[in-house]
Amino acid sequence: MDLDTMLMQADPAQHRELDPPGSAAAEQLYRQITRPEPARRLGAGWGVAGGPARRLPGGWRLAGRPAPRPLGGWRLAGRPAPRPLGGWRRRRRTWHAALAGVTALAAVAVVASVLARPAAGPSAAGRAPVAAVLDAAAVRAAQGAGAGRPPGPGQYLYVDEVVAKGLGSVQGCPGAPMTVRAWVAADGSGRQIGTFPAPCQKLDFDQTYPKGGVPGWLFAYIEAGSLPTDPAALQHAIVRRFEHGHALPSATFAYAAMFLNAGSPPALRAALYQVIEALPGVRNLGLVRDRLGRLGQGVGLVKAGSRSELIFDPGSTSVLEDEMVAVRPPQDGNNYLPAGTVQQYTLYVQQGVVNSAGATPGRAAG
Amino acid sequence: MPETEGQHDDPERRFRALYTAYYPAMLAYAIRRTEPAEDATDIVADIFTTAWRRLDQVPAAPADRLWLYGVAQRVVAGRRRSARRLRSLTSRLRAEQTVAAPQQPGGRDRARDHLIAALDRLPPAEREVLQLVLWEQLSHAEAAQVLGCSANAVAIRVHRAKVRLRDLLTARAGRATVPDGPPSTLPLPRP
Repeated sequence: MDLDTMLMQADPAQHRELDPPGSAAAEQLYRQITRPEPARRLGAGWGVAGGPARRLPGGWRLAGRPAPRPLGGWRLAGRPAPRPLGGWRRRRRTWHAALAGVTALAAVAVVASVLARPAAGPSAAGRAPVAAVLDAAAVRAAQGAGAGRPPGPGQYLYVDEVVAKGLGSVQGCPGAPMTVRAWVAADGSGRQIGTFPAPCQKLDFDQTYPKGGVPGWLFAYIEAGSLPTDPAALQHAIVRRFEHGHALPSATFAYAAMFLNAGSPPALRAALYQVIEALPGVRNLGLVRDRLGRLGQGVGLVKAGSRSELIFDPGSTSVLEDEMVAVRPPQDGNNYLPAGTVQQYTLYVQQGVVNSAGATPGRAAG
Repeated sequence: MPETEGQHDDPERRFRALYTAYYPAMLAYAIRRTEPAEDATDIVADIFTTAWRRLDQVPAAPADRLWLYGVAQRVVAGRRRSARRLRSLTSRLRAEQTVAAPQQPGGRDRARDHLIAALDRLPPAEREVLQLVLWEQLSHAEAAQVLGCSANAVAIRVHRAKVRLRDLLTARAGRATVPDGPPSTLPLPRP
């Protein structure tokens, strides 16, 4: 057999059934491309409407393409609705009455959610192109949705997060999310209160730190103010400053997710969504729920044996959760984890500017 | 795509005709160059979204087909910037093919896997021209239009690609010529 014949027989498309033009999948895709989204079915956010191109702060020009119709084919991703956490949020509002109990309960609930969460998302068939989803988020962000503001003199940026890292490592503490709240002043001083629940050694902490002493996990809240708002320059800055000059899409994806919720201004947040959109391989995961049961838009990126996921509120564009999950081999380096292992995640519960280190947005100091 | 009278007056009608005519070809193009299940759908969506946005720039038939291949090439290139990702996709593609395609007698699937693995080790420009000619069934002149080079350059690249491919297969199989049957051992590169 000659080489040409071998190559033609090796054609991958000949070994698959292709959807014909009139198939349901093809027609759905056609409608997504040609029909603008008339209704705003997810709050006020959807639709990069057709018409002239738009200009965003920072010089970005959004495509003037017709908006795909995202919701005809939207479906909830294949994750069960997280179970117990709506109640946890209500309890959290009265946390100062029973802080220890609430945080422990939240941690247990999150652990249960982690263990129960399926590893893989559903098929992408029928979803809007990811570019349309992220364009829409960029437009909303540029309009000011979800933007934070830096703390003024005597003020603090309040952050309430559930952070779990190192879940896949042998030395790590599987299923041990750190519940933490922090107050960060513009000069880097502040306070953090948190707890590591069982099954790790229980460790509650309440620390204050001086000017410039902001702990490492909060670095994004300090660095965000120094980032450029032009998307190309922003991507370059992230690679240069945080990835040692070697672009790694999964790292860029993670940094962009962090900075989206770091009290960043509208122009920066719009640029961050554009940076994510430009990453090769990023895809639309559809509507998904985070570990607190909040419905959001998921986008993901599979790189080097891990799937990075970002769930954001399409209306406010605020990030609800980001996480990293091992996918099936092949994997890079020492990252040989069973597929579906949650390697790390961060739940963004609440943030806002307050007037003292101990206050929470909308209520008195704790 | 066959043109009909008045189709330029109705953009959606024109786009519908374009979509109907070339959806299978673009889907096949995407499947040939990426992980089929999810990325292929996204790639097809990106190709036709571009065509819809730039409908006034799409040339009349038969050049519209080549114009779409040009868009497809840029869309796929955007998703293949990382060599690491490319190797990963190769291995995943191989794994999926092993599952999805029925085994044939005589080890044909292994031979195909080996061939695709070797194909993925070609320089991107040579791989693309070979795929356009053999899989997309474009003539040298058509491939030249898609790639923005001369037909002569396409012919040279095709020749070089085949020589290199034979060398790769020969070197890995430890044989003097391209075998009729499957090479004995061709381990895939680790990502």
